[in-house]
Amino acid sequence: MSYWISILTEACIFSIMALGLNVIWGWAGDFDLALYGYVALGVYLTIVMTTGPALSPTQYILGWHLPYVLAVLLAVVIVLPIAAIVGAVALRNLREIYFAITTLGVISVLYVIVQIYTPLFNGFNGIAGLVTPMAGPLHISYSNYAYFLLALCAVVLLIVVVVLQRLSSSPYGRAIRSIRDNEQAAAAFGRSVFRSKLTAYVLGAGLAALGGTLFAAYLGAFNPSAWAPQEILTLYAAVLVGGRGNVRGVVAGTFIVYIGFIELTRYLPNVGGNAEFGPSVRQILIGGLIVVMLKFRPQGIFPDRHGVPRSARRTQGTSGATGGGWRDRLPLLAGRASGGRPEQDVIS
Amino acid sequence: MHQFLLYVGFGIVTAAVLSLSAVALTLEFAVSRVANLAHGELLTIGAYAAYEFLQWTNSVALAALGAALVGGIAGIAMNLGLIERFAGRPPIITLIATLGLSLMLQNILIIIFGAANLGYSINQGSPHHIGPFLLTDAEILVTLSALAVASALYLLLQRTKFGKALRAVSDNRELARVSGIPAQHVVTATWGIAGVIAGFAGFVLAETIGTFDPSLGFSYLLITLAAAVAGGLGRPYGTLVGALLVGLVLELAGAYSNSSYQLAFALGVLVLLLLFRPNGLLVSGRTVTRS
Repeated sequence: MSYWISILTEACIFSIMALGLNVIWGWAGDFDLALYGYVALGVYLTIVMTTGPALSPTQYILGWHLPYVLAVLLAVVIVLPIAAIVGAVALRNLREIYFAITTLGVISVLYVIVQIYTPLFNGFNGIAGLVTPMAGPLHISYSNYAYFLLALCAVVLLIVVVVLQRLSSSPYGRAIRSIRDNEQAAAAFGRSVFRSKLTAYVLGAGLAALGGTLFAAYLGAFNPSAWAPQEILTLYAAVLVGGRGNVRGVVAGTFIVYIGFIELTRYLPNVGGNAEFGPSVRQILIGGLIVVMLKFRPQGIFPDRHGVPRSARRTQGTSGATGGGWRDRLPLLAGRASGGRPEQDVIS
Repeated sequence: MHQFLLYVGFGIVTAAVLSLSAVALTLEFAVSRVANLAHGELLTIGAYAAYEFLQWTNSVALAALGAALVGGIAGIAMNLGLIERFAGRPPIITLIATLGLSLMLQNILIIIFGAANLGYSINQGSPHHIGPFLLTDAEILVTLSALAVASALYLLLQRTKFGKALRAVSDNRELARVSGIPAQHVVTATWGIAGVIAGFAGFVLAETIGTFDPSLGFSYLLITLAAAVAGGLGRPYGTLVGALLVGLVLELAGAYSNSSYQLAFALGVLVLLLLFRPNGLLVSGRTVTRS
């Protein structure tokens, strides 16, 4: 039972991060590789702002004794300008692979600095000590804490989903998708490409950091081995499976990928006494899932249909120049409906 | 000044290793128009192949040859198994797929070889004074082999029919095809060549660093990208210049600060280049970069 509680809690937390990625990649179309760095900053900042001063030989910055909720808010607020700087540099002129390379660089450097510069977050050994935040003031017993945390994460996820859904069909939601699908055309219609993209980038990073602050409460401790730059791929797999751009689809995708993969690899034996076997198989499956989804169903299981006029939706499968997977009104039957293989969607 | 020149010497060695990796990456880009994020794994595969060959034959030359051979096979397999299957799709989609492949390959290597560090037991030889530089036998050999690869590549590209075909395919694959060039074969062969160079680069890289593990190539990817972008992605000669620049920056920055921050300097160079010279140092003009 407690096993399922913790799996569901993690799935809720990862859903929030995946929704952050969905704003940046699903809506704005920017292939960001630095996102997991904002998650990590959220986790680290929450821990250093709640657990008090560092005790030698451990060292880290801040070392405050703030209440958890305040630390959560502050952590997110600190991450926003960092993401704004990265976004402002990376989004000004760079697109596609050049944007991806730059963000890969950002997270690689952040990763190295956090590992090597110990006064920041205690280097490779990481930091620990956030135990059951909010349990004291709310009088929650230790045995009930797991349920409380699950409820907390689920509520936050629900709020995020509701807000994002409203945003998704708002003028901004439509504008950012139109920029994704055709930057020049959107600019010609008076959209500020740079500002819209930067807004999406900062919003996505904020959601990632928010997920990180909840992750901190769940984990209690954090070190660099928990956030290698490749961790972001699990989130990409989740967004891809769920349906890029579709808020509820992404949440479903995260639950499918996360719970499916944990369960699939849970009973794997340790072949040859290799403790890395289970986790490695999981990573191989995630990598494989990304490749297979991109190849055969890039629009995901629940394709996003927002931002496409009703008239266009009816002309299923006639011309394939636009993005987004809107052609598939009946997602899994789309191929048959248009009389053959589903056309490959152009996503860029 | 003396000290400075010493570091320049080390920088040249770093640049030599880097040039191998970056030239391979740029060749892949030239024919397939995709920045291959699984490029690092070609190096890692080469490093492990060399390790196996060294255990087996105890000969450094055969280890290098084995690394190149296995790297070449891996390069062709990567192209046929993944890149070609995404032909005609937006480059960014292929890019994500290569990152997924990178994750798969790294973990397959972990399962086969374990995550622990390995090292070759190769005699480095004693350091020699060459002009102002102080280099070991191994380092001299590394630098010479990189020069040899660069020269061979130059001859291949400029003096052979294949080189002409490669340049034509790189310029416009469709046009090359309708002109009667077997574009598909040229692309496959180019990936084979890139794999050979990358596999050898992996061996040389692991040998220069001393130890390696399955993340060897991925950790080196960013520096490789910096060098390739500095030279202009898809431009082999520019990439050699880019490798020299990034190699020198890395060694000098490492020498006059904490060497652990080399990667940060690589990023600094990369971002500046992307912002001001996105098409490479040798091409003038500042354009919005799209792929």
